[in-house]
Amino acid sequence: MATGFRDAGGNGDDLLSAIVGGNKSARAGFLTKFANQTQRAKESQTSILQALSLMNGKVVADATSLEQSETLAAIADAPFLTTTSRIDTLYLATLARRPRAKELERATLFIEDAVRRTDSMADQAAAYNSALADVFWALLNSSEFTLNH
Amino acid sequence: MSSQTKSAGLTRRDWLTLSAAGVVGYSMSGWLGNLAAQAAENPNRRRSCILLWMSGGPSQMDTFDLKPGQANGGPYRPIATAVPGIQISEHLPHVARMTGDMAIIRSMASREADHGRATYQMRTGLRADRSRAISDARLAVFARAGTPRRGAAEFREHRPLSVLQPRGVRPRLSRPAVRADGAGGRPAIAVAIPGAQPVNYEDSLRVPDLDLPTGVTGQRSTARVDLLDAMERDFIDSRPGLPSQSHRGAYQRAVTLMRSAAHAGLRPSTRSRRACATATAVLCSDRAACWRDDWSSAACPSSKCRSPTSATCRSAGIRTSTTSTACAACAKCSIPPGPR
Repeated sequence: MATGFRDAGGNGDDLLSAIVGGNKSARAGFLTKFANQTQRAKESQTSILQALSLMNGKVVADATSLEQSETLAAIADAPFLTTTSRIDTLYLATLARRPRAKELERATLFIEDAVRRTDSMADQAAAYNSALADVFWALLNSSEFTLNH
Repeated sequence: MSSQTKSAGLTRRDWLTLSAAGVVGYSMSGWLGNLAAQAAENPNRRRSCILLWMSGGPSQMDTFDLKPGQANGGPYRPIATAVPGIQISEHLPHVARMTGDMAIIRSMASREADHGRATYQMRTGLRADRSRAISDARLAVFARAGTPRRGAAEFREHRPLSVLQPRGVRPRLSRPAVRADGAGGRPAIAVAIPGAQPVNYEDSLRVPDLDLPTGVTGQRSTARVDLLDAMERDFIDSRPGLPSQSHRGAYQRAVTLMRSAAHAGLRPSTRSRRACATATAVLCSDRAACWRDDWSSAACPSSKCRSPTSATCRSAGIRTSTTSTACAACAKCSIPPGPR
């Protein structure tokens, strides 16, 4: 899974609860929300609820959290990676391609700006990681991830 | 007939039986006549339409669309009607004399291939996927309603077909209440979902995932939404079409919704409502973009308002008055308060 995030409760119970009613789990709620409303891929449409869920919901929040996401933690913590190669890796993990020059520049600027806005060294490290997480977040929320992956 | 159908109230068969016995027919003609008379007297009356949705009625091939000579035609003969060229079933001779006042629709197309979904669309004007269509319509209203002042008028103007105001419940569109627990009041709007049971309005209107995840500030959210939008613009340029447009559109509406919800629901307790409203008006002309964190424009993501000092606000063309009256509301304002 691109997000490197494993659902602790993903053992089928959730689906069962979705079918028989009762307490809908987060996973079942997510599945309901993203149920394909049309068979034709060319008519795929995104709803506001889907957008909210992807932007603020637990699944993506966990996927872009250093504590929860293995993918992100690995990319952020690996000492041998430069910012460029970290962005490369995020693009490969989500979109299965490397960023174009313009995209790389934009993401790099985004991270550098976030670091520049903070003063202390400790805060800068945190700002760097959260900016990296935000690049990951934007990739997971992008049209390209939804439509092309 | 299942017991479920019976419990849903009078069945069509019951209705016909009662009509035949003269029980319903008379009383119905009574109120219908009164209703019609009252409507006719009302100078502000709107054009209305009565829809008889007669599921289970006779087939179209036995009534209005006989398809004579076709393999899928019915067993009855067509007869000529008052309108040359229109033929209907031989069993409807009286109706045949009235076709001049009728518009018979024999075929139509929608994006739905399933009868149930198409029925839903015909009745509500919305696509059948409840989690999408209904919610989107409702959220669209909510997004606009979340911005005071414009809310009420826009609600009337843009009200989706399926959104009804329940009797006795006034939508709180102008200024949602603020509760102590920080949960904002939601405009009370009921959505008519065919066949749905009445639900608690507050619960039904609670929008999931409207709030930012823990640890994500408004400023950070703004920054990454901007990053996402830049990515989306490039993608749409290279791949125009419904899916990518729809994706970006939904995100833009969702962001508006998040911001207006934050705006409506959470006000800093240290300032009076009046002061907040003033601060907003002066510092930020882009209400929908204002975050909850702080009314100061430092936290305001609006491109129209980047600086909290009134000098900058004025130069940005946002400040409407050079007196500091309004700016007094903003703690960071460099111009001292003047007479109110």
